[in-house]
Amino acid sequence: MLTATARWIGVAAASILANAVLAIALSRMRRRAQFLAIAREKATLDLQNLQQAFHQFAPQRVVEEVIKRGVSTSGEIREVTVLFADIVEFTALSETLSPETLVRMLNGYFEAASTAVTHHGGHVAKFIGDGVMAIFGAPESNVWHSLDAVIAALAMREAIARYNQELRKQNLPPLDVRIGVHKGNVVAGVVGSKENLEYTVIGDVVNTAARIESLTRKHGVDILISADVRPALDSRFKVRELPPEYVKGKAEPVVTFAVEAFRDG
Amino acid sequence: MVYSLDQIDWCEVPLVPPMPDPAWEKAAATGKATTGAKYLTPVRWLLQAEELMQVRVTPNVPVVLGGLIGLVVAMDNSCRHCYGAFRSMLRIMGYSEALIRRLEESLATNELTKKEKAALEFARKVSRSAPRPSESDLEELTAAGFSAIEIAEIAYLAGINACGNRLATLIALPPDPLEEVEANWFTKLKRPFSRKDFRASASRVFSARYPADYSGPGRGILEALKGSPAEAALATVLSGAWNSSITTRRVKALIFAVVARGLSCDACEAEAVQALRGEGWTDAEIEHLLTYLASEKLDPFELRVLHFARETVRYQTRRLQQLAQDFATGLERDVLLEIIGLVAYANGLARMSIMLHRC
Repeated sequence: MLTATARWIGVAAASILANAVLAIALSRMRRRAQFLAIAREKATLDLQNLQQAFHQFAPQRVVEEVIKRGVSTSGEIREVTVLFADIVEFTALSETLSPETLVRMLNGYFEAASTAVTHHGGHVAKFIGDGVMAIFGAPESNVWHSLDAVIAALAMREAIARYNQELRKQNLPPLDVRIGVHKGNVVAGVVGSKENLEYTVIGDVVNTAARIESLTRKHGVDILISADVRPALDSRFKVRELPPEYVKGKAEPVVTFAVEAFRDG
Repeated sequence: MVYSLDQIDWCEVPLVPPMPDPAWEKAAATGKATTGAKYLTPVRWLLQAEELMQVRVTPNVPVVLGGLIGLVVAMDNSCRHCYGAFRSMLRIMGYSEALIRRLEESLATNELTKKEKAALEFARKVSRSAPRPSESDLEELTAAGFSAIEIAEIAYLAGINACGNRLATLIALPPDPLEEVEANWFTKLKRPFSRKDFRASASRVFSARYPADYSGPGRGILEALKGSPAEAALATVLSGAWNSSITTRRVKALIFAVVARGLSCDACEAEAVQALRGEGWTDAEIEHLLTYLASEKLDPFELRVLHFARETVRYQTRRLQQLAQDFATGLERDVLLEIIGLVAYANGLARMSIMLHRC
């Protein structure tokens, strides 16, 4: 009888112990699952925020492809207008200023230039030293890309003039910004390695836009457009045709037009 | 594109104040009134459009797929109002929170059939239209097993949702009462019993009478929708808009023309150009207008409308709301709302016009 009772107590104790161990294990597993769910939620949120940020720099379908495959193969031919802007004699200017002042001046200039571009539907593709490269017509398609690019160039001229007033008040030298605009077909897509991807456009149009920008010094004007961009402008724009000039990489001289004024409304 | 309601930066103050209406308040408590109805008064055709957006006019597309298209397009456009409303609708219809979360994360989820995924991808392309979907996108839908009328209805749903998103975003509509109904503990308790009723009412196909006198833009799309109740529903709205006396036909035609050009929709542009010819514009004047977004023939108000319409082609929620606030300055409520409605419908038509490739 005593042995049977002892056995029963033993079995009960073992069962209680087993249940307790199981309960502890289950509780730990539940906590672990909760922890994993929170971690997954956070990782998903981080990824979504990253995707959302990247959507601003590349078309959504390209971003989705990069997420799915790790790379993008969807380079496409697009007609775009490329705007190049840079500061005249910036290297000489930089030698006369402290690094802090230089960075502050550059940031103010980039801010003014970027605002003018994005406000008119453009996309700042790159800052190259003191230069700005902007694209109109990609990633978002835009049938009025040349018109918008020239209006952005004029807005940039006004914004830099306002910025120069600020600089003068601080006894700093004003910036002389020159702009070149050209349009044509480019290959647009995400390029780079898995670690360092960027949405950009590739093609002769990009080089020509940069060459046209450098012609501004020769012609003594601040905004120059190519003959391909000219038809996008109507009589509200005051433009002046300039003599053709040879530029690097072109067999034929390039015809350009100076944009002098714009009458809105 | 956003992946959750919290990510949307939404203007807290609507563009116009709501019109007080006790009957609306009563209906809203049961989820039977939409927010739009309170804000779209006094533009009659817009109120009718709002009503027709709530009923089922696409019987060839399953109700749940219609709701998913609404959700995906609203997410893509970051329309807080529509996204919240479609999310609540799917919850009430029985979709679990976990499943909706998975859908929000990715359309690649296993819970969707191949056919549903194809339809949702296509709807997203139609709504974005950057660039316009192509013939191959339609072929993908055919390969997935959709018939011509089903494809037309899917394109209609994507376009009408892109339109509804613009309407809600430009006015900055507050959350739909359905969100509150869905979150309420009492309705949550009742949900298993009320779900059947809700599904039944959502499944009921509505048919409007086709207006006899419609001659404005969108006739090609109406032709392509023949055989679907969506044809009469869309015709009712377009006819109401075209015959409304709040703004002139010239202003309406200008809006349809500039949005069609902005979205490279040749068929829609041709109809709008025809309407402009009817208003005394020559072909050379129209081409000049659409190339340079300017014309000596435009008065300052028309020029303002033209630039506003052009800016609504691309979707950036906060920017659109800021644009609408700037545009609203000095305009009467009815004129402002009608123009917002017109740009929304012009965008919707130019997007859904992809269905014309199949007709």
